[in-house]
Amino acid sequence: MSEKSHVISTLVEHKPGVLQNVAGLLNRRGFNIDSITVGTSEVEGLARMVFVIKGDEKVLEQVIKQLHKLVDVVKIKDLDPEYVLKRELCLVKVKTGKADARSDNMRISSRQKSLMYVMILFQWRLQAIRTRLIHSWNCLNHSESRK
Amino acid sequence: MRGGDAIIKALMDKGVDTIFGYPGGTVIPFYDMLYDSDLRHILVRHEQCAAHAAEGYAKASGKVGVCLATSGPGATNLVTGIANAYMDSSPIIAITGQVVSNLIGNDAFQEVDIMGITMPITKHSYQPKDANDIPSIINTSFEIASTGRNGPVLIDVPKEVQEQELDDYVLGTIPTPGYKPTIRGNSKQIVKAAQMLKSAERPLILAGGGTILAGAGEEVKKVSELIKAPVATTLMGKGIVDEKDDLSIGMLGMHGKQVANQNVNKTDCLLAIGCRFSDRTTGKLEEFLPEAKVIHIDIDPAEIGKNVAVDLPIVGDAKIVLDQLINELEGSKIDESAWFKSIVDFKKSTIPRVSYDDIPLKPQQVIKEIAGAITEDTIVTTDVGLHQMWAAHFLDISKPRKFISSGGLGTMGFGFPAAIGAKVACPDDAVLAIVGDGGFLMVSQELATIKEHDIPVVIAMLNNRKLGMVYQWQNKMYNKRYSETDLGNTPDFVKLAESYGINAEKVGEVDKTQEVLFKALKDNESILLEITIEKDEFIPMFPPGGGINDLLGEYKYEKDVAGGK
Repeated sequence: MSEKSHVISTLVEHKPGVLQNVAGLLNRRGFNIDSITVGTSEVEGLARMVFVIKGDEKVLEQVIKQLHKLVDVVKIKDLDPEYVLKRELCLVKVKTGKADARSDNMRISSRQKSLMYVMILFQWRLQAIRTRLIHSWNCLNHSESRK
Repeated sequence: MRGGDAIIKALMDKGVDTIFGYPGGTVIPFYDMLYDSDLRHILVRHEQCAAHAAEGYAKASGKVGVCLATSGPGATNLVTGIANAYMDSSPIIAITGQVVSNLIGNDAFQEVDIMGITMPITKHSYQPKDANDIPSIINTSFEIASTGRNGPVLIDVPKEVQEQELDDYVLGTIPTPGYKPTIRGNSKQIVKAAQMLKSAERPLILAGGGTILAGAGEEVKKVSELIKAPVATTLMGKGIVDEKDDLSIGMLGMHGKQVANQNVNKTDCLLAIGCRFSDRTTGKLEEFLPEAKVIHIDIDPAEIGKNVAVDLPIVGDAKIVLDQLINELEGSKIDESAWFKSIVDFKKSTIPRVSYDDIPLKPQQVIKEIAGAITEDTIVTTDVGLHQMWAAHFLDISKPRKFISSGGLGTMGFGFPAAIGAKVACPDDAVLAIVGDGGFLMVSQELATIKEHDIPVVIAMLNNRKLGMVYQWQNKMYNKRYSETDLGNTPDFVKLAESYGINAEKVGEVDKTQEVLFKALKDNESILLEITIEKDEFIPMFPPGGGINDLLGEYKYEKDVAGGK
């Protein structure tokens, strides 16, 4: 069985300790979380937790079954990659060379150079540049970036 | 009515007659209100024993056991007992005091995050912020602890909530939208299971603790008779069918009976019910069940396929699923097979040797003496160690809930307090605690508890002056380097018991031991019997990491004795 990333979306009761309980369960059973996001959901009193978990089918089955055992976990869905559009948003602050006596134009160009380097490294698309801080966003397909 | 009164009333409304506890700073309000109530409280001498006693109570009676302790150290002392109940799926409720709400998080005196500490070892936990929620929280906690896969629930009650006046006492429920245990088996799976069992040539049943929790003794027996399958059990399933019966082949596993260990791999269809295939039961998984199709019935879906690959999973309550299965099987005629007969013959020819006349007594002989002294209604509890495995291996138990032991966690010190809980739950049954000298010393202070509350428990302490189980491993696998396992400098146990006002006696003769035990159990009085045993007598085992058919050392059979006994 191959190790794959799975996106698991859960609805949990929105109350203190639930994140600790879920994260603790995944940790103590040795499951590998790639990422986790938590936020309020469209249903009042419930929060949505989305994990990306790496493992084979057996691991995935255990993760889902073990999560089901938590009383505070209401609903669990293993999102099928065929039908899921995944987006990740990344905010990057790039440190560039020190401003020196050269012209302002030169300075921007040195910043742009650093930024280009980062963009090429991650195969990103440039969205916006601010003069003091340079922001870059990119939408990329999660599973492809893992290859 | 205040919060503490609400705890007491809700517990009593749920049918609790006794709780086990120990007072402290943050539960003084509760104890003040307990003073005027009819709820019986057993004052233990260490909080760990309150949790073990609650579990013994639960295991003996099938009801929910309740223990209570203060915040901080009181709560952390409960942890071992809660973990034990979690591993063995025992329905207990642990109530702890907590510092007043506005101090929580400030490292207040005797503050500890007990909800956080016990998160991995409880089924669920609550911390009421409003006394009006207490009745519903207790009601829901009972529901969670005693349905689905049973387990411990913790309720952490801040001090001021215990003192808060309730507007109204309502025994409602706290919504638990995520909690929906599956009770009935999927009927299509049941039909398939029946077909697999009918066509199996060498079926075998493995019954675990889940069958006892579900009260499925009759059903296991019935299925076994219908399909002509012998029944092996795990440690926790001991007693689900009468072990004296032909169809029972006893405990399977690391210290299992030869008839179970040597035959389990021959089966072509294993019906596993309410067990979790622990490493102590299966041995090396690659060598376990090479040719069998596995049907696994369990109330916890997470146990199915966790350790052993399963061909047919059925999620549901063991008693109800087996009832469904019986309906499906009934009417079909399965003849007594050569397989069943071969197992019965195997059992007869591999009766473990228990008869010895050596002095000091061999542990096997001690178990034989115990077997002669108990009835099928005697509740036997054990601690953890060699004596536990001797009892599990050599002592035949005839009814469910009559053998109470610490399985998954393997907690030394469990046996004696569990016996206290069992006796409180079943005052009409004789209770015998089989313990070792090591484990007993961890909880010997509870002699004061049984004296004060007049709880008659007979303690058979097998004294080899060793930490026996580790001593055995050191003997067999660590070149006889006996590091820190000698307990030679133990107290005079007779004097120790007498100092608590408990009768005690040293016994160590063949047949005499049985007489003394028999009288003690019949008289319904507490007594500590110290039985000196041979230190170098070990329990048969497969080596850790070994397969179920491996055997470390020699297995002694009764037929080896000249003339037999």
